Amino acid sequence: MIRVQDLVKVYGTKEALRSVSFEIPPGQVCGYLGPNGAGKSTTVKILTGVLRPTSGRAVVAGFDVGEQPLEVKRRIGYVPETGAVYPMLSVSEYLALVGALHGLDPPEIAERSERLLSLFKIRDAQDQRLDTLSKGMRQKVVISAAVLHDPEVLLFDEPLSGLDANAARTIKDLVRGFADRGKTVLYCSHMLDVVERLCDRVIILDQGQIVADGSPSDLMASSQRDTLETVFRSLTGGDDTKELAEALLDAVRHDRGAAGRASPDAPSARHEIPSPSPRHGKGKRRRR
Amino acid sequence: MSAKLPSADGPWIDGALRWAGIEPRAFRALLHAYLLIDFRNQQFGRATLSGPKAWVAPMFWVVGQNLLLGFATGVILYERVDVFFFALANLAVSMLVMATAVIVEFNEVVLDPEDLEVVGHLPVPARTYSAARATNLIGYVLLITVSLNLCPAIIGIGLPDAGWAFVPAYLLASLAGNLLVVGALILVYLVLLGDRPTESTRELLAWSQIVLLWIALMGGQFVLLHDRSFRIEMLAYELPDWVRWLPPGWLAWFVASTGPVGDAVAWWVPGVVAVATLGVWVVVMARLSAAYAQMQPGAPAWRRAVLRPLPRPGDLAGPIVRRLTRAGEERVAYWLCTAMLRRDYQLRMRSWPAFGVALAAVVLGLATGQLGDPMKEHSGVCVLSLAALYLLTVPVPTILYNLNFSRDHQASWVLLSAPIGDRVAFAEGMRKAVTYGVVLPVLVGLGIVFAVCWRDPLDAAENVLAGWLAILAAGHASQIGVLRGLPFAAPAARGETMGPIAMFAALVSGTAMSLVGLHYLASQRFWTFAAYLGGLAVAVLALRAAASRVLEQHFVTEAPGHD
Repeated sequence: MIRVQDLVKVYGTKEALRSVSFEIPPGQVCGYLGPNGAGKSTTVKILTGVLRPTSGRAVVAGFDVGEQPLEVKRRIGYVPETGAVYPMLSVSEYLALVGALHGLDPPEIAERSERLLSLFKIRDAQDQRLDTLSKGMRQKVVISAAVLHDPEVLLFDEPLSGLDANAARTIKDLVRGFADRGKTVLYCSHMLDVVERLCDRVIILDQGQIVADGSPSDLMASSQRDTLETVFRSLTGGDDTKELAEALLDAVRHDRGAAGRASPDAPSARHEIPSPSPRHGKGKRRRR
Repeated sequence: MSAKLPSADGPWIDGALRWAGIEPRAFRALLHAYLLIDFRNQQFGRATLSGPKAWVAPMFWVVGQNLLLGFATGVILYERVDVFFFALANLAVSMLVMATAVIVEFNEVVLDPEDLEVVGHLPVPARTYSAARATNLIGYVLLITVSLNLCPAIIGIGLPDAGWAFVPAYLLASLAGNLLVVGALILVYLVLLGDRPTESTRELLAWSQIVLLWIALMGGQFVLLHDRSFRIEMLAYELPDWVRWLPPGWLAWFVASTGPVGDAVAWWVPGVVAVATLGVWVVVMARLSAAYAQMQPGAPAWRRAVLRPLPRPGDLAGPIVRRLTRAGEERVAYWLCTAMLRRDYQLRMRSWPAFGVALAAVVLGLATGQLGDPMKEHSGVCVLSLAALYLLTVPVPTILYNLNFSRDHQASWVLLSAPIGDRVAFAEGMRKAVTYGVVLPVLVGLGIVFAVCWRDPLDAAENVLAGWLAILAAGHASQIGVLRGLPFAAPAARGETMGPIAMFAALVSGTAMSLVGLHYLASQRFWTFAAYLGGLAVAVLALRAAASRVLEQHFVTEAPGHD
């Protein structure tokens, strides 16, 4: 269970979170959405005990994050947005490190790691250094580490980043499976179609405040929109995206023209624009 | 919201840059970014509460230390030697420090493979990138040169055989010498590395720095010795002929020739050095461009590595480590720190040179017959044995402090979000990784050298025991003085990994030197030596208790600066 009450976080003069309150019961997958800078990652960092809130209270798995951060950390699995890992460790060393930090016994770590790596089809890479893996493979390792100690609460921040379609499907099934087994899942993502299908409930955050909270179908019905994406856009000031894109295109056209006229560097800069490959060029000529 | 980029220079500069194949706009933008990175250091900002544009704080340590070093060498030599030797010694120190700084920060100041991930996809020609890097580097050389040589230049005016032209001649010589040594060094490394640094060549960088420090400190040992025989004066007046043929020798000759006494000014020396420097830097630019063009973004081939599998899957520690550490946080911290010390070449480059002073004492002791047994020799001939023993305490705070930094600091969320309940145990693991994992093997090696030289293993063991107690004390003192949070959580910024620790390391070094005196006095009788060992043991226990209290209160397991 996650319960957040009047959470406020201020960085200098900027209010990243403004009195955010919500509660996620066990067995629920809750999508936590918002435009860039809305405060999603700040909330997750507070829930993981990495950051302290300026005021307010957060309770995770029955423990107050401010008062008993260790008890909280023991019960959560966290996949951060960056997915950064110690690149000089091998896959098995990394999992052993995280397992040991969670107090698991070595045989238990070995058994669980092997099972998870086999499921993700990366067992052959277990003695490879993490910096030699692809982004998707590293993400699989990070997710394996997050669930290694069988946490009660899972906090996923863009977990599908870099994953191929099969692995993404596995993660979605895994998230659903965790919820079905009574675990609480907070799922931050910008992939709104995934959130719409996967989550029981969605909280939308904008400029540090909750602007919507409900099931995807309820949110769509109440706002008379047919997708979660359109609901999201209407709530977070994204309705004018088409006009914005056109304005951006205009700005780019204008800038390039201006640079071409005004800058003495323009002729040499043109040399840097990759020319079409010969094969490409020939194909065009043939069609003509 | 718009960032203020440097304004365009005059058309002749742009024209000159274009003539050299450099894109003026990209060049200025890159140089501007590098200067911002150099002068705007977030950690210094946090530590000194300075604003993001304050430039004094980041340069404080580097420039301050260099000014102190220059002042110290200038004062030590003043009125003891002639202008030639004064210039020779100060120019040699300046060139050695410059070379060391470039080797240590090779990636940061010369060629950073990670730059490709930032600028590799941008339309920046290789020559423009290398020109911006080289210009940034020349600025760095200028800063270090001025800070190292300002004091000697001023002090040197007072020498009896120095003329009015001493200051400009000396500063010109120091700049020419430093530019030449840096250019030559980069060229050697780029040729040696074959444009693609490997792990082993990076290791070579670390060791070459240690060798440079040995050379520098072996000279400095003369100052530490009780100099009844006027060694500095004797060295100055009986200088071997070959020294005059080294680059600092030529430049010192030029500086001396500007004085009121002697032959005509040797202008040909700076002329030759300038031509050589120009030639070296032209080749450096070409090699840097080629190196940059050949590197590919993404996972470079030299980083692909399969590691030796763990002895028992899931278990981080082997049987020896299980005996040395307690299960839980302590063992995890020990394993993580020793793994990073083994694998992170930059951490090794920052750590190993701290052994240079102790090792220089051993080399000098062996070379001059001053590595005597303090239990038997009650004279100055055992001073270097004891110095080597106690100077092994200096690497403890230096390495422990450097564990704070990593290029992979973004991965610190792994530790920050982990349930680290016993923070004292975690800090103990960090300390043991340094004392047991790094310093103890060196101490054992030193014990073997003593046992062979003294032909008395028991004496060697007794002395090594005293040294070990001092190292343990330094470990706990460093926990109090420099250990403030989880390891590898801060980026390794220029100057920061060496600067702020200097004062604490100097304190440890000073205490170690005091212990050398006490050890020397105590070793004359069995019971006084036993009492001395007992005193050291009590100090270790007291420091351990104090460290536990301090760590319990101050060892941070949360994200820094985000409260």
